[in-house]
Amino acid sequence: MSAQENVIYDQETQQLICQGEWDLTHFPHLKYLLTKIAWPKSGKLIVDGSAIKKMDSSGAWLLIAKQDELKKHNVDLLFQHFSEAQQTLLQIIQKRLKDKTQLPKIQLLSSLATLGKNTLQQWHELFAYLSFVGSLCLEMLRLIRAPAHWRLTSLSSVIYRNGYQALPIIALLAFMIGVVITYQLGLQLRNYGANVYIIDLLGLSILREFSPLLTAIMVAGRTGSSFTAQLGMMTINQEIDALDTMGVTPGELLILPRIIGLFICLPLLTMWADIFGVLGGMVMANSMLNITWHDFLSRFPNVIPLRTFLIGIGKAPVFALIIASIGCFQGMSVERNADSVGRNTTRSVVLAIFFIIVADAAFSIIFSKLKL
Amino acid sequence: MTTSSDCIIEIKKLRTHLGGTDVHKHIDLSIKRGEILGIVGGSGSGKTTLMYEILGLIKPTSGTIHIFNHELTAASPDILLTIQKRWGVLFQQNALFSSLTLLENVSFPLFEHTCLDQVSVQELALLKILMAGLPIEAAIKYPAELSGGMQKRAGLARAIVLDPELIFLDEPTSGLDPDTAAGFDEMILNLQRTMGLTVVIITHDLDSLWRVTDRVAFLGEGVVLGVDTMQNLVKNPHPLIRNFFLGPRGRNIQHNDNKH
Repeated sequence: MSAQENVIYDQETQQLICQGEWDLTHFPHLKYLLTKIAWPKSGKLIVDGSAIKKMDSSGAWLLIAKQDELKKHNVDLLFQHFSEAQQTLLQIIQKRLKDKTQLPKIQLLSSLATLGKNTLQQWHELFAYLSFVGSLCLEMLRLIRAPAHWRLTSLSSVIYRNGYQALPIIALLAFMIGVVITYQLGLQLRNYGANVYIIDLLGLSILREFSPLLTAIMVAGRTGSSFTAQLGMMTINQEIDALDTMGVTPGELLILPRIIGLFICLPLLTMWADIFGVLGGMVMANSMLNITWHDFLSRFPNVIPLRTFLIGIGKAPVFALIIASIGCFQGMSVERNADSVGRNTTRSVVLAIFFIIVADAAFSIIFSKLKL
Repeated sequence: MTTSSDCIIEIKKLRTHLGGTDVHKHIDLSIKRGEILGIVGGSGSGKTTLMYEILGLIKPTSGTIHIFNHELTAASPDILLTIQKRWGVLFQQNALFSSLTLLENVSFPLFEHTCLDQVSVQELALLKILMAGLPIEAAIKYPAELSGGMQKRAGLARAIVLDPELIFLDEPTSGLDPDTAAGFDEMILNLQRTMGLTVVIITHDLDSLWRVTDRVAFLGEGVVLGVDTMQNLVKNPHPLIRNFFLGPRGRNIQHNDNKH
């Protein structure tokens, strides 16, 4: 062994001379050196630490761990000529390691158990959601009789942020959808020379399906996620608990204004999207299918009954309830860690969009049964 | 000038302008190797800001901070990294990573900054968890499942896992019961003695100040009003210092101290 090595083993005097730096930087090398030594089968061994320049707790741990290991093979390590601070460090680590028991294992579940656990979790979440909605209904009944508790400022700020500020993006989106639909359908209609029927198709599809559905999906992404993140952060910050102790229910101050606010906004946003969707279609019809503005606007009211518009608008409040209640519920069920906010925000958007589409399908079936 | 090897941190002519006001007007402070320095001052006197500046999280308006003989504000990323490996920080809110278990939290710096094998990392992290006075069962728990005192200990375990030369403790005993706080003080002293640490401790806890610090720097009016041992600092005639130590709570403690 060369002189620079940190460990020199003298077999004759049964001495292990440690030198140099015994710290974290040299840890892997030191560990390797200790494994290479031909330890005696039994007896006593003196570890000389007089030449150690620097020792930190990782170096000390290495020696103590070796001592423990060798003790099982009837070899005793005796530490000698260590400085006072080093000795205390060795003793502390020795004492701590004696207290140490096996690290408890995190139990992993089998796939079947995981399936069962997840099912139960979903089941519980469904119940939690239903009781959340139920408690909000009770809260609502309580508040109807107490107009002094109506939070009009929160309500207007919800409407401003989630309705008014969403106007540009919704308009742009609806306009482009109008253009795309007209372009795709127009290509087909032109083959048959049925250009003018684009107005029927466009009006029906935009007013009845596209604008309520797309507006709701946009709002789920924009507003539902922000509800979850806001309420989630407030839960983590104990703001919700603070409100509860002050005798102000979070439902009254935070949740109901959000739900009612969105309930008011979403139909209005849908109407806004109707206007821009039709406008987009009109521009495209004019440039591609040569239908003049005048023709378009005079035919539109004749072929599109008011009913179509009302059905479209009528779905919006239902979508609003889905988005807002899921957003708020997910926000309130955030646990106290950063992961949970992210997870619940994702869940909020995914679940909201999922249930919007489910509700839309249900509406289609109901309306077709009613022959609307 | 003091020899550079004596001083682990040297702050000169530091001025900080934040949000329209001068938080620090002119700060000169040097921290010696191996000492426990307390930083005190009224609320809003810029104690935490000063710590953040030493840590390089906030840039001072003017002035210099030398740490391990490197000028911090002019340090290249490489030098900054070597400095960062040599210190540990316990933040006021512990700043444990909430999505990791305690063991993962403590082994994080080891995984990032060393090339040890997994077993050694786990063993060393467990050793630090035990040294911080936590039971081994806590190792697999998430920070949210630990009590306030245990979270503080966990934060300390993470701060010392790389065997740093310098640790910063921001309000380590706030929110702890007197018994736990006293235990925490002992632990800091113990670690300082055995590992030769330099400790910078920001606290309002007068008991801690008497028990653990070698010297105390008093911040106020944007300058360091006094740096001295507690015994001498309480005799300082400056009105802010007098009010701080000789208010209704401070007097009580001094009284107790005289009795011993």
